[in-house]
Amino acid sequence: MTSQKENSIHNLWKAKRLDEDIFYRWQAGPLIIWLKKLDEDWLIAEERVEDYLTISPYEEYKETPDNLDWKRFVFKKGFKEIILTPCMADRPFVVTPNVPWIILEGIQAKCFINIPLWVKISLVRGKEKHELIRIPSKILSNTWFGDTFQGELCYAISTMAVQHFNELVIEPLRAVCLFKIENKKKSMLPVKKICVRPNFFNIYQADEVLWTSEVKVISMEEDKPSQLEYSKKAPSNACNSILIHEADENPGKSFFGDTFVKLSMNIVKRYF
Amino acid sequence: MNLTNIYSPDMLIIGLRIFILLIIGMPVIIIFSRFLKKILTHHFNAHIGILFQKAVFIFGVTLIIITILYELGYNLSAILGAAGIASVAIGFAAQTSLSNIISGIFLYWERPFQVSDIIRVGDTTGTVLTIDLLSIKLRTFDNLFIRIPNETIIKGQVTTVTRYPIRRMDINIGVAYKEDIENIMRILKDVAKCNPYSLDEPEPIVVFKDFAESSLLFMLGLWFEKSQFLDLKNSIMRDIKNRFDKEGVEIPFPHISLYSGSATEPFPISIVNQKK
Repeated sequence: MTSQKENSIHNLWKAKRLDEDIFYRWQAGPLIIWLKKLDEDWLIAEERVEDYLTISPYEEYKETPDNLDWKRFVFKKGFKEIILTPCMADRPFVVTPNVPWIILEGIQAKCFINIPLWVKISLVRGKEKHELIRIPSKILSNTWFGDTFQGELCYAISTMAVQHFNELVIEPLRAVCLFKIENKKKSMLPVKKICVRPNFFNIYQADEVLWTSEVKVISMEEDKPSQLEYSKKAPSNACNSILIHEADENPGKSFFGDTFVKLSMNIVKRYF
Repeated sequence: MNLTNIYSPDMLIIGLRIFILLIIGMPVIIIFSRFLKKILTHHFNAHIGILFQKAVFIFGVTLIIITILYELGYNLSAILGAAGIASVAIGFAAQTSLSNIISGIFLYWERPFQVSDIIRVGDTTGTVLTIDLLSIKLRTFDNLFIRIPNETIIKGQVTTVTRYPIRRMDINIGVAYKEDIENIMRILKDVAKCNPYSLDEPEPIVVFKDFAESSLLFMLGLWFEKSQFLDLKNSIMRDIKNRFDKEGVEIPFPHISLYSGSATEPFPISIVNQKK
């Protein structure tokens, strides 16, 4: 039986040397990944369950369920270790606050969003690392950010944005995002939905909680793109955090653009 | 024709000039038309690129043919005069082609679709391969090549399926008269919400459409990203059937109830050829 210590979230993201001809079962919440090494081949399969809290890294099995859809990766010899790391989704998320917000002029508001993560599987040998595949922790529903003429395909997050950290249910394959909205306009800012772009997020681990980079949205003028700032440090709530995934794209210090026109459109134009 | 003239020095010089004209002229026309297509496709779209490539190619080849005829000593004014008379005859014969060319020009200006769009013309749906002066070419989903004259496109109704990034799929669903309308609407909304290909925003719609002959008719309208048509179609039909089975909702087949003049009285039956 595996101990409490072995089932810590810290062990999920450590490199593991796989012996040949043994099945390894890795579980974090709803996602189960099956791994097997065969000479220079690596077999990977995934399944999902209605479980949000179980942590069980690299349990050894002699057999696997029959209905698995295996993927085979052929790679050069000499790689014996595999590492799983949390990473971000391939599309933006749209999240709904638990209650619609109205942010008055000159005021800054903050919320916490629980973002579903993907899992990146890589082969490692010393400092050499080769990514094999990225697997979503759960199948998310599609949503559209924009109007029927133009916009962007996004994932809908079923959990809502909340005002306080302790309102969140912490799960092993979700990261907490601190999202700040500053209203510098001369009118109030009604917020119904928020678009979050995960490709600019770092992921940090602090104790048993994963955190993303902090985001700040500054709404400057009516119907104009807002300014978006992605921090390159962990939020202050994440004490003693370590960086475990670096953002896929560098956002620079701040930026305006299509991304934020849509965000601004969705935030500002939704009056109720 | 005097064959000895063919080998005269003058004719050899003419032949050489024609040869040089063809050797240099044809590659220049081909290269220039391709270059023009590349530039125009980059700056505008593939439609304009192909159109101008063909126009430049045809113009260039016509110019070379006229030059060759001139070099061979033909009287061009007589040829052009004959061409004028011939063009009247050809004009009558080529009315359809001309109409297609003019329609092609209108298509170019109006630009209702582009190369690689999916369009529906009458009963035909397919991906646009090329838009030419006379016709457009489609590849249907069962891999058939279809040519549609431009005139048909201009005269009739054309639907550009992939014009906007998202579309709505409307599914008509009939359930038995005994079913609770509110419950059916709730189930359909829930099925749409649980399907990952159905967009949460714009929200799916459920409409109680009609009291049909054998069923209560509902319409479920689901928004989806245009490339996910098949994924949504296959999964949502399966989801609806599974969910209806789970909830005990009856999907009726067409049936007719017969009454003997009153809904409450039993239908009178008499048995013939009864064995004694």
